[in-house]
Amino acid sequence: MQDLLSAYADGELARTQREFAERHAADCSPCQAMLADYKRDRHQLASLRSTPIPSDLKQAAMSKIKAAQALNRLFPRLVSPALVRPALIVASVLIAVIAIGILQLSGAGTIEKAEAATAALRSYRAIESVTVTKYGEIFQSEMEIEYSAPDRFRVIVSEPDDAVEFIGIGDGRYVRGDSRKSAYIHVRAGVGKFLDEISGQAKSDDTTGLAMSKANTLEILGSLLDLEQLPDDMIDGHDTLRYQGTIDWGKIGRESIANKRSKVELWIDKVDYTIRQAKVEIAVLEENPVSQAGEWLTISSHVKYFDLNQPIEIKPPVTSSGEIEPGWSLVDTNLSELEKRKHDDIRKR
Amino acid sequence: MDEAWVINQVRTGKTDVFGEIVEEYQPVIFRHVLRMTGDLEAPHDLTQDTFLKAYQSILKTDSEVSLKAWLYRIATNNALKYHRRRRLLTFVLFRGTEKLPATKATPNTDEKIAMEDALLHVPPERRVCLALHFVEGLRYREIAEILGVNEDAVRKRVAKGRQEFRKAYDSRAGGDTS
Repeated sequence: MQDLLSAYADGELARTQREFAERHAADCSPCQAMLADYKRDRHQLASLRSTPIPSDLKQAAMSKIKAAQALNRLFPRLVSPALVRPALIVASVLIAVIAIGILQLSGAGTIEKAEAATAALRSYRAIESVTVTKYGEIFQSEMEIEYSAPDRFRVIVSEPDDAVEFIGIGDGRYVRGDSRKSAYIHVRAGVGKFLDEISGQAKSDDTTGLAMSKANTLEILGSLLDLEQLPDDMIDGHDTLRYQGTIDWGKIGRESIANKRSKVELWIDKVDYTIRQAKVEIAVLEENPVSQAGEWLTISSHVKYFDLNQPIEIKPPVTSSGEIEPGWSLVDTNLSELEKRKHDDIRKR
Repeated sequence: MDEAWVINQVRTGKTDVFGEIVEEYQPVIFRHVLRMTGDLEAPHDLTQDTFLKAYQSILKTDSEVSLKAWLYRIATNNALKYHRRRRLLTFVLFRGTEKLPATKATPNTDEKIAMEDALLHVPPERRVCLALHFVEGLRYREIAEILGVNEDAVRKRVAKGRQEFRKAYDSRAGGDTS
């Protein structure tokens, strides 16, 4: 009945159904209330039609079209994505089969100890650099991260001409700087998971190898395939065991994306098994909208951890009178109940 | 705008004429992609890509096309593809930073932000139906054509989606003290 009433309110019923709905609603007060709600939806949502659009959109679209046209004239389709794709799918399946087949267990004990040491971390500082290559363009950003258990963090994200700072204290989230620019996707990639983990609202299905925060690091550690031990190394005066592996996409719920590859390198402290350094590279095959050829979109992340388990003080950007300091704003991070449940389900697995 | 004439002109190599199509449809396509992605930056690129693909498709075929449905279909596919990519590469946590700057908010825009935010709580396959029907004014039949599903499926998605929207909007309005 609900479907019928909804369609009735929208004027989308054929005559016989419309008459039936009319007769029913005339004698049914819950249905009348529902119809009133439906009318309110219509009225409210229609007001979103006035959302402003960027003034340079037409010019940008036409420039892209002309660029594509010029490119097509120079390089009439040399490689068809239709030809590339099946070959890549076959290749990626083969790689996955081989990777599972040659899983080496030599590092398993060390990796388990590293997982335990990471889970027990009370505080740390980290510096991470992220590079994203997309359709020939390179985006870079640097992140300074501070974490203090159980729920305080500070992240500064710097790009060549921009910086954003986040502070999280409990459920409070503060932000400073312009965080809405075009090269911003990978910045969120770096910060999001970190904040998720701290807020206890991690959306684990959004995993990547980036931003080696505590939760993300644990996830990577728990999903390594094709593990190989490399010669020992020294990081900032600490003797480390060095491992290399790939990500088991199935374990992090990413098996459905066919064309991807990964490489993970870890430097694990020989004494306390904390991670001192990590490098993660991920590539995903995408169709370039201009050339329509398949291109690898790549992300690489290099993170160094220090001040592990040392006292780190993180304060909210609030004055003694309780006002938010100039330049900062408080943001809303409410996630829906559904997302929280999804997250809990994934964590239980 | 005489669409058939514009398409013919584009097919004879007059690329600039395609600007009329962009001009006509850019607001609806931009808003549609904005709503589908819940992101302030991506729609700019995705809208451009939508027009680029439409342009390339016009050159590839001689048949008559329903431009509006075609653009919506490309835009929807672009947005869903972006969702899949983003699920791998990024995390949508900071809803707050994706909204309009709070300093520019007026009571009216506050309500719109609340509505946009509530819409983002509706899963994409139903959100697209709500946005196309209520915001852009398309009929169920047109939405079914764009999404490649039957009208009954659209009817069910609208009915369920509006409940989800209402629940998210009411809970936000009730719990938001800022």
